[in-house]
Amino acid sequence: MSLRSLVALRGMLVAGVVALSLAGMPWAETPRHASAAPAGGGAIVIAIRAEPDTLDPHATGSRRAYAVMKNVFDTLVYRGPDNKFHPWLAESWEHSADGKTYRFRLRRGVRFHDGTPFNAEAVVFNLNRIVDPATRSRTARALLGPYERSRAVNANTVEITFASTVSPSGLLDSLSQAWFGMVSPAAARAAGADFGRRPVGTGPYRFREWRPQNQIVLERFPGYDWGSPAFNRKAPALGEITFRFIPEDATRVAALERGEVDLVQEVATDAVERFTRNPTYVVVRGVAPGGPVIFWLNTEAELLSDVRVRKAILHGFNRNGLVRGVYQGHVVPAEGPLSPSTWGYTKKVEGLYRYDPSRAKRLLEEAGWTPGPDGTRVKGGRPLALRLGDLFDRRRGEYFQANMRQIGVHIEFRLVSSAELFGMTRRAGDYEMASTWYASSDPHILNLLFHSSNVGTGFAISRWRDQTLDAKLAEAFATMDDARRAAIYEEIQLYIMERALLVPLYAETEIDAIKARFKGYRLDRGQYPELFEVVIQD
Amino acid sequence: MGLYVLRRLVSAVPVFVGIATIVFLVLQVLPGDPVAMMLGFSVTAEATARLRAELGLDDPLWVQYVRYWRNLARGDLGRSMSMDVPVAQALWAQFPATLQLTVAGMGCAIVLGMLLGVLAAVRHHTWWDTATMTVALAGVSIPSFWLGLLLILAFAVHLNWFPITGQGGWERLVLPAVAVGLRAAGLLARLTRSSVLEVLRDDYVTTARAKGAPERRVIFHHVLRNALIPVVTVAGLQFGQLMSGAVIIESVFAREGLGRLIVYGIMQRDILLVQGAALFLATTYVLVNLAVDLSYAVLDPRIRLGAEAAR
Amino acid sequence: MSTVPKAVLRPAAAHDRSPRRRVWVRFLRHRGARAGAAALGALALIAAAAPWIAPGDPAATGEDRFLEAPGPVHWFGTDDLGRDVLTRVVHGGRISLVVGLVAVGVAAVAGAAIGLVTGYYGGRLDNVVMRGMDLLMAFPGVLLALLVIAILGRGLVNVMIAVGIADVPSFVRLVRGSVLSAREHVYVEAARAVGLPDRLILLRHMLPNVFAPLLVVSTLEVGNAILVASSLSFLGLGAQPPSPEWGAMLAAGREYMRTAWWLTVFPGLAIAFTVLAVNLLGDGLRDAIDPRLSRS
Repeated sequence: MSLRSLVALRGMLVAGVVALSLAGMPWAETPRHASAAPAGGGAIVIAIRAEPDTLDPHATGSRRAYAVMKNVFDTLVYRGPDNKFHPWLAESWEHSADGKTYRFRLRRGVRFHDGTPFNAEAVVFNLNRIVDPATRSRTARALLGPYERSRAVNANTVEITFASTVSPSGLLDSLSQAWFGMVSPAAARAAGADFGRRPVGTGPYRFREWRPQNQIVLERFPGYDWGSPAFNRKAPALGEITFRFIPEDATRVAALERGEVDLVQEVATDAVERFTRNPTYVVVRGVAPGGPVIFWLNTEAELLSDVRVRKAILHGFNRNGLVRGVYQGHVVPAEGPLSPSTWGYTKKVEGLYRYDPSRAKRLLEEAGWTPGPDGTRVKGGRPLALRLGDLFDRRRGEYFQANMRQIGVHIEFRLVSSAELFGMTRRAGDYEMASTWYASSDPHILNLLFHSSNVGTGFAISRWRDQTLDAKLAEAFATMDDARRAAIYEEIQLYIMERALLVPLYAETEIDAIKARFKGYRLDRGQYPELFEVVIQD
Repeated sequence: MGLYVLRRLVSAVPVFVGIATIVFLVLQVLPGDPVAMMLGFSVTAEATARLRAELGLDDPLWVQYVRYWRNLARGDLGRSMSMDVPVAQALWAQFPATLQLTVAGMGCAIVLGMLLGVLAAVRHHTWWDTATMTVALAGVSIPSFWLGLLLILAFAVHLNWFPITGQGGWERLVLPAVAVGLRAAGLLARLTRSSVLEVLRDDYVTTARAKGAPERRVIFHHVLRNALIPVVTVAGLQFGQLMSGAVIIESVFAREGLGRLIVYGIMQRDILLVQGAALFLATTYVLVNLAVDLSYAVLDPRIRLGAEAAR
Repeated sequence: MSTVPKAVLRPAAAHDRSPRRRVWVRFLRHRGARAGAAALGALALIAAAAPWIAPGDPAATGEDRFLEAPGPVHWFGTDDLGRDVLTRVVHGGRISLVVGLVAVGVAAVAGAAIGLVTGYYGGRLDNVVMRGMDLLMAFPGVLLALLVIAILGRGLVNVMIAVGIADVPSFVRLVRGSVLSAREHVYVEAARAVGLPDRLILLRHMLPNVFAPLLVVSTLEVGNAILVASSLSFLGLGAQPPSPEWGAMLAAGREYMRTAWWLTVFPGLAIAFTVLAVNLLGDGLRDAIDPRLSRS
C-alpha cells in the first residue's frame, strides 16, 4: 500500500462521528405527546396492546379499535354499569308488540365533527351502511340480525323494521355497542375506503392523528354537550387522549412505571402485584362478559367427530391448574360458552366436566384410541394429533398441550396471526382446534358462535349444524320477555356443553393500571376503558 | 475516474432489476391462495374475484411483470391489506427509524472497532491484545438480540439508567445501537488490528522510527492512514449486516421501523407489505454498496488518476 | 485407464503425506482450535446424551413450581409453565446443532455441486449462474431468510431451508474460484486427454483441492446459521411451541425479565457458548490449513 493523503484518516474518524450524530438527530423521532399543549383539562396517554386494524366501527370487530372508537362515536343508547339502557343519541324508544318495528326519537342539536347535523337520515344511512356488502361488516352486521329496512319518519324520528321478531334487550344491547357508532354520512361518502383512517363521528373526542405502528391521538370536540344522562357530567374533562401501541407486556408495564404513559391496559398477571401495592397507581379489574377464552373443537374434523373424544379432552384439561398456576389466580375459570359475568349465565354448567384424566383415558379407549409407541394414541394407524392455533397467549396452549400428553393426545400448537387464524379455520379440514375470545354484554353472542349459518364465516368455529340448536337460538333472540329469554339461554348453554363443542378455559379479566391522579376511571360493560368521567386531581 | 464512476453506476442497474424481479416472483410462488389470505375474514366469492381482477393476478405472467414495473416507476407498491394503507406510504413512514438505528449502529461499530483494533495492535502480544480480541470474538459469537435483552436487563431494568420504550431522544438509541453495532465492531476490531500490524512492519514505519519521530506521530500519521483503507471498505460493506441486525433489534426494543413491519407482514400474511419492505431494504443495500465503491474512487488515487486498479 | 501411471493422473499433493500432517499438527497446537474443538465435543456429547442426563421432560409442566429461581433442585430455575430450564436448554442444544449442521451441510453440498459444474464448464452457464448468485448476495443477511420464510411459512424446517439458501452463494463462489485455478493444471489436461469422464475429474481432482477451505467456511457458517435460526425463532418465525429452541425460549422469557432473569440469561448463554466454540474451531482450522490467512 502506498502513501495516502490525510483525507483517509480524517475521513475515517469523521465518518464515525458523523454517523453517531446523524443517528441522534431528531428527524426520525416521535415526540411523546403529539401536541405541545392539549386543549385544557389535561391529557392522558394510554398504552394498548395492539394497533387497531381500522377505526371504521361498522367494518371491524377488534377490541383495540373499540377502545379507541368509543370516544369518537356515540351510539343510540348507553348500557350503564347497572346493566340498564340509558338514552344517548336516542332520547326514547318504543317497539311494536310483535317486536318487528322499533322507533327511536333522536336528540336534537347533535352535530358530527365535520359540522354536519346528526338526524334520522343519518341513522338510516348508518344502518344501511352496515348491511351494505361494500362495507365488509361482520360484527355489526351479525349483531343487527334480521334487519329489513329503516326510514326517517321525520327529522328526529327513525323507524327500523325487521323481518322477524327481535327482542328489545337484544337489540338495545347491540345498539349500545361501539360497532353501531354513528358515522357522518358526508364524511363516509367522501372518504370511501379511507374512512377507517379518518373517522368522523359525534363523539366527545374527534380524531386528530394516527401514526402507524406508533399511536393514535384524539382531541376534545368543542361544543359537545350531549353525553348520556348515565354519566355524571355532560361532557368529558380530559382535553386529549393518546393511544400508544405497545405489544410487549413487559414494555407496556415499564412504560407506566417510567411515567411515559398514564394508563396501561392488559397488565400482565405477574406485574399486577407491583401496582396494587403502590399508592401511586390504581388497579382496575373487570371480568369480561360474553364468550370466555375457549378452545373450539371442530366437530367436522375426522378426529373430533366422536363426542367421546371431545368429552375426553374436556375431562383431561386441568382448568384450575391453568388459572391458579399459570395465571396466578388473576382470571376466573369458565366452564361454559358464556363468561360468568354475562347476563343470562347459568351456574348449571359448572362441574359438568371435572378434571379427571383417568376418565378421559377410559373415554378414549372406548372410542377405539389405544396408546401408540410414543405415547400418542392411535386408531387404525392414525395418530390422535390435533392442530391448535391461538392468537395471543402461548402459555395456555402450551399448558393444554402438556395436559393432553398425559392422556395420549398430541397437540400441534402454534401462535398465529389473525390472518393465519382465518386461513386455518376457513375450511373444515385445516384445523381441529382454535382459540378465540369474543366479548359481548349480551348472550346473543351465542348466535354468532353457534348458529349453523355462521359456519365458515370465521365465527362458528366448531362447525356444529343442528336444527334444534338453531331453533333455540332464534327463539331466544326473538323473545320479548327477559325472564323467558334467560331460561332459553340456560337450555342453550347446557345443550352446547352436553355435546362438548368447545373447551372453555377462563373468563378474560381486564386488568388495567392507572396513575392515581386520574379519578373517575372505570371499565364499561364490555370492559373497555370508560374515559368520559375521568378528571385529573393532583 | 469518470469512467470508473460511470461503469459502477451502470453495473448497479442489472442488480436492481434482478432484485425487483426476485421480489416480483415472490408473489407468484406463494403456496396456498394469497388472495384469500389478504382478504382475511371478509372473503367472499365476489370479493375474491374483485381483488384478483384488481391485482391483475389472472393475466399472463409477462403482462403482470410489465405492470409491476410501471407501478414501480410510479412508486406504487400496492396496498397493504392488513394495514389498509398504500405499502409505499407505510414503508416511507417507517424507513427513517430503521435508517437511524443502522447508522447509529455503524457509528458505534466504527468507533468501538477502530479503538479496540488499534489498541490491540499497538499493544501487540500483551494482555490488552488478547483481551480486546476476545471481546471482538465474543461480539461475533453473541446473538445480537440476546445482547439487546441483556442490555435492557442490566441498564434499563436493574440499573434504571435508560428508558426502554420506542422512540425519541438519544438515550433510547444508545442500547439498541450498541446491540446492533457490536458484532460489526468485533469484525472491524480484528480487521483493524491485523491491518495496523501489517503496516507497522512496513519499511517506511521503520524509517520514520529511525528518523526519531515520536511514537504517536508514527502511529497517527503513517500507520493509520494506510491501515484504515480496507477497514473503510469493510465498514461500508457491513451496512447490509447492520441493517439486518437493526431489523431484528427493533423488535427487541419495541422501536418503530421496517423490522416490525416485516415481521408483522409475515405474521399477517400481508405479502405486498413484505415484498415492498424487501425491495426497499435490498435496494438500500445496493445503493450503499455503490456509494462505498464510488467513495473508493475518491480515496484511492490510482482510480482517481485514471489507472484501473488490478481487479 | 488402468494402464496409465497414476502419477500422471493425480496431483502431487495427495500422495504427499507431510503437508496433511503439518496441517494437523498446526491445528492441534492452536490454542483456540483446541478450546473450540473441546467445547464443541462436549456440547455434542451433552446434546446427544440429552435424554439420559437432562432430568425430566422438557415439555413437562410442573404444578407448583412456576418461575422458580435457580436453586439446588432446578439449577437453571423454572419457567412460567413450571418446566425445568436446564432440561430445556440441553434439549435445545440438539435442535440448534441439527439446524446448523443440516442447513450448512445442504448449502455446502449444493453450493459445491453448483460451483464445481459451473466453474469447470464456464461459458454462458457460468455467467448466468454467477449473476444469480450475485443477486442472492444482494439481499443483506437475514433479509433473504425472512423472504423465504414469508413464502414458505413459519417453522423450524423452513428456517433451515431459508438459512441454507442464504448460504449457498458463498459456497458456490468458493468452490468455483478453486476450480477456476485448478482447471488449468497440466494433470487435468492430461486426464481429459486420456478420456477420463468429466464427473470423475471433478470429483477426484477438483474437489480435494477445495475440500479444506470448504471445511473451514462450513464450520464458520454453522455458527452463523445457529445465530440466524435463533433470531428467526425469537421473532416467532421458527420453532413452534413447546419446542425448547433457544431463541424461542428467549422470546418467551422476555415477559418476565424483571422477575425471572434466568429465563433470559441461560438460553442466550447457551447460544453464545455454542457459536463461540464453533467459531474457535473454525478459526483454528483456518489457521492450521493456511497460516497466511490468519493475518486477514
